[in-house]
Amino acid sequence: MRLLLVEDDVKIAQFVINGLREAGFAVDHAADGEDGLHLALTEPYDIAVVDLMLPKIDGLTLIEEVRRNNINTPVLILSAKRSVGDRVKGLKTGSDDYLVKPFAFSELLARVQALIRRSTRVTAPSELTVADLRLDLDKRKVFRADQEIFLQPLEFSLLEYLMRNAGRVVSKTMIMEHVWDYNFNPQTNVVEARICYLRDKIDKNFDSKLIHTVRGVGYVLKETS
Amino acid sequence: MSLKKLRDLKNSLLFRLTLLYAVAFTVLSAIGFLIFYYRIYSVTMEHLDIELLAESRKYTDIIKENNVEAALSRISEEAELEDPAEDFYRLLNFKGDILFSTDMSYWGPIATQDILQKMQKEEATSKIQTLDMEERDDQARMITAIVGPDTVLQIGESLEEVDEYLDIFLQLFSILIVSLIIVSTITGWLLARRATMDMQEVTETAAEISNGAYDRRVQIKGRLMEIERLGATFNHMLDRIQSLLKSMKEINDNIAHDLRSPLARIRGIAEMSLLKEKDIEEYKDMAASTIEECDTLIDMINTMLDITEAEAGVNGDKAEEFELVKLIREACELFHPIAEAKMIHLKTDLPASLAVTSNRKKVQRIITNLLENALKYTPADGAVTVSAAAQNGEIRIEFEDTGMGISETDLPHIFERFYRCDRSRSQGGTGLGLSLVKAYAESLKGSIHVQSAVNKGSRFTLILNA
Repeated sequence: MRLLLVEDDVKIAQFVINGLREAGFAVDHAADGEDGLHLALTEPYDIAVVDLMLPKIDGLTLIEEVRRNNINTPVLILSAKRSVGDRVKGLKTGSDDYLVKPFAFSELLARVQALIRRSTRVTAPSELTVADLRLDLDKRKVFRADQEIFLQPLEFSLLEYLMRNAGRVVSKTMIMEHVWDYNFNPQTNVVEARICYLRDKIDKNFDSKLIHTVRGVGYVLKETS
Repeated sequence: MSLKKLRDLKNSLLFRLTLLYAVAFTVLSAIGFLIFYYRIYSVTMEHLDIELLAESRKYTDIIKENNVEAALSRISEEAELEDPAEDFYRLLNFKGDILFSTDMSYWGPIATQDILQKMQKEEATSKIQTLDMEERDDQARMITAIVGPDTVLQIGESLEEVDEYLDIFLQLFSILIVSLIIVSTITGWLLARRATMDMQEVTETAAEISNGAYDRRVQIKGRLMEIERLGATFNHMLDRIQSLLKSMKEINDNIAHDLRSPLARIRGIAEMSLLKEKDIEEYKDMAASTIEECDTLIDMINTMLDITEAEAGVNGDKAEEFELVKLIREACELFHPIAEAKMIHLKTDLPASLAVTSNRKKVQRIITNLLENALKYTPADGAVTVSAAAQNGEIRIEFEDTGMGISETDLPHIFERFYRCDRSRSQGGTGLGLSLVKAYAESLKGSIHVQSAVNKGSRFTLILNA
């Protein structure tokens, strides 16, 4: 997957580039709006990540220009502006998602991957499987080693989200937002509490553990090698 | 006075109002006077004409009863009594030949042919006209009447007396109008000054405030209604500015303090990681702690911005209808593991359904914050009850706990930013949760109330419009 990053802050650009390359992306970087627009118009990208406040040409103008040239590459805006008005303005110009700085890299990665999935229209599976854990989306049932596990609705949706992002670290913020539709983090760690419940049911009676905590970042569901 | 001052005066409201008042008053009284003057003039003339007519009739009668000679001797008698400069009598035949005349040296030649011809044509027996005489300043009123066969009598009377009489009126009115103009100008000036002085005071207060006296207010009692309203609006604006300034100052102080601690911890962790070689697990631990501290900071900054935006009413709230009971149940469900871990009995007392039209995200956050607080400050084996009910077009949502309670000294301050009661300090938190609740509740046109008793518990009541 080819990705265009237009970001003038050198340090942020560096860690985003490193992270995305590790995740398997081929990343091109432009440090100002003019270079960014040139690249966007001449090279085929699967996705573009664009900062709003850029030298020479600002992000919104860049996106408008790209769309005017009938290039439908999904665009994710990165910006320090966080008001609803700014978000709406950003999305109206033809971008596809909006992420506010400071952000967690894991969230950026998840959003980038979600945008690519959306644009390539992968059909939704009816079943999710990781190792011997199987989640039936139609019947809303969960099995581990063919043994049915009974989950509360909140636990079921949490597990579904973890399995959809299997192998990727998801942050507490992402879980609050995507699983339970809360766009803020309560002081009390309700996610941690729920993960504990889920562990009890999924991992406790099995030798290989699937749910892992990455301290300071979030949680990941994966098979340990 | 310099030219600029003169121009300022010309442009001043005081000057304009006074001028307008005086001009309006003068024009009105002048019109009144003119009407009055004209009436007096016409009444006087009418009166004079009636007199002249009666006089001519008298001689018609004498001629009819006696003869022309009798009339002549009567005219001479009467003319003797009059001043020849003020009255004249003439007797003519139809051709215009003068049969008798009083002393006409004061009057000059008076044309009679035209009037006689006119009378014959109209078959009139008398005609009254005003004479303009070349030799005299005044005018005269003259009657030409047929008093007998081939006999015409002309009586003229000077209008000098009438003019004098009218002149007195004119003088009287002039004095009256001049004094009216003076009085109206003074009255107008006083009235305008009353209005502008009040405004002047508002201006002066504003000037003082721009120089930093933010606690000054305009006195509004006993002023003109418009000025009172202006003053009240002005004072209201000042209250708002003052409270904003105060809270800005408090926030600055608190930000400095509350943001410093996590920054100090981050710096400490980073420094420790550089001081001595450690194994990879320790480094990971330090990096994780750094992220946690950063997240705390980000949360704090975001919450502060949320509060500011809600207070300023920046983002128009998108209202939608949603099921409040479902929202509350979801929040309780989310916090259920926390309550369970602390052995707190989390109860709900909710109706089957409560539809609310409001901003769902904000209500969700208010409810979560209040629920979280209740659970945080309630010790093990306590109880937290969430109840909701519709009442008189309002919706009351209550969060009751059996926790530590809030002391009376703390109670008035708990909604202030970064305010933390001594006993809650140990519990952590940003000190922003309740400020956000208040800001959000008020931005939704709702309100938040609290009752509390130390060591017994607290009850927070959120009131929303249905």
